[in-house]
Amino acid sequence: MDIAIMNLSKPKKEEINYDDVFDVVIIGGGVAGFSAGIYASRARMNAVLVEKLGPGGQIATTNVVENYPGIPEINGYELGLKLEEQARKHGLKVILDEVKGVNLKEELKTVKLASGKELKAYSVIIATGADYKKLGVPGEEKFIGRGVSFCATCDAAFFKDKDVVIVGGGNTALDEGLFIANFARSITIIHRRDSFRAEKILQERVFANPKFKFIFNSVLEEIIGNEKVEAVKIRNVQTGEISEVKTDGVFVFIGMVPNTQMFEDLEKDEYGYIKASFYDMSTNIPGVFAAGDCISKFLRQAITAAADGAIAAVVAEKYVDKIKQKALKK
Amino acid sequence: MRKLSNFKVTLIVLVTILFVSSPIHLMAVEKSIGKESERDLPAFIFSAKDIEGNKVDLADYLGKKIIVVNFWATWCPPCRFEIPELIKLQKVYKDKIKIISVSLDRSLGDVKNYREHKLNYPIIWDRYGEIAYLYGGISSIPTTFIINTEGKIVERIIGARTFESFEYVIKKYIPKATNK
Repeated sequence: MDIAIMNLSKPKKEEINYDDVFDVVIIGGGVAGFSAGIYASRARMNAVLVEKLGPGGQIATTNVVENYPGIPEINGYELGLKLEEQARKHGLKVILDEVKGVNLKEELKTVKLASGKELKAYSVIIATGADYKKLGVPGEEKFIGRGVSFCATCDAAFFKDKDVVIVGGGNTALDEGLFIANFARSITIIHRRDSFRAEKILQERVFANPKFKFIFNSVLEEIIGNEKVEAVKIRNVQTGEISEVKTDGVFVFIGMVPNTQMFEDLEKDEYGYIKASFYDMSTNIPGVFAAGDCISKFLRQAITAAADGAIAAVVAEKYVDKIKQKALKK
Repeated sequence: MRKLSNFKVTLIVLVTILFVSSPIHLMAVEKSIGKESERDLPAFIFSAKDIEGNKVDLADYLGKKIIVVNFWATWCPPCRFEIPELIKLQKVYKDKIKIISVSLDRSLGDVKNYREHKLNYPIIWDRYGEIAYLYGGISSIPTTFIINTEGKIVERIIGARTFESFEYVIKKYIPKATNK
């Protein structure tokens, strides 16, 4: 992988005026957030995006993105940098800070930052994404960082010529598995169902790769080891049979947990994803929109996140215009 | 020093063999490898040359500053995200903490390319993973150890953190009289 040149230079102080009332504050610097930022800036909205670490969000830890139309292949980290570059080019202001609290109910929304500063805006686009879900089995917490991992791009190199297991059966599990195969001696995928949910092209690749073994209809019950991971205990969900698989590492790709805990006033589904209209990305609170992996929807991919962000920004612009027009008439 | 268990003695022998021809030098060892109970156990105090060829010796900072040992690699996106945060941390707390960066890259060239990001703390290239081994065998990065002024590991942080998160943690260990 090429070394991407970091472009995280913080905005000059004069760029952000915290006394301003922004047209829109975008929370989250993943694909959805920056897509919203590009559209908002091009609409000449006074827009600011808050990201806590760096551009790209979840996509930044993806080794290769090859299903984004128009870009045959790109490293996820580089895609994040390009998103930021594109958005800044159109005038988006970017703050590297963490959102600690929000007040969304009033017409003038408030976003509180970890630095102690506050942002005020007529509208807010929530694009906070989701984090990897943990297994919640014995041994998992103990071995995080010592054999249990949630990031193949970060940690696969530590398993060179070793045996690993992957838990999961979606796109992420198979895609990351193919990356891990560049290093590991063998990869055993443990999946609770009898077939994978992942795209067929990914399935073809893993089935064709001799490094992969597959254990279907099984769940991981325990991660076993003394000083480091040595084996996993699995249970066949059909027969109830318990067995052990020796392994040096466990990669967990079983889904996501949305980063929506702080938005208490928003309606969410049973898993915590924000309910946003597919028509205009609006939520149950006027002036608050949500986009990307943090909303309740069928397909969470970069392409759908980009679309959500674009819609949210355009609709937010119309909303802010209305508010301003109303204020002028008074 | 506490009495060493057989496991630890074996470990020290292994580590000593490992270090015979290494540019990284072990100054003191006593630690349970890989156990959850590692908290508050003495940290490995090592000396090594950074990528500029300067000697970095943790012993120089022991008792004087909080030592932050950050394991990372250039291939790791969260590690790269974290670097500006660590630069800021070192700048703001320059009199209170010393960050030592340990790169687990496969190529020294990859690490040296990072000079342009103007890191204000030393980078040691842990070519053979010796330091990583001493710190419990790192298999996830970034991983950051906070070592208090008594030389004990008081925090093991896995994953990237913001300046504010690091600040919150290190403030707990800066001696009260010098906290401000």
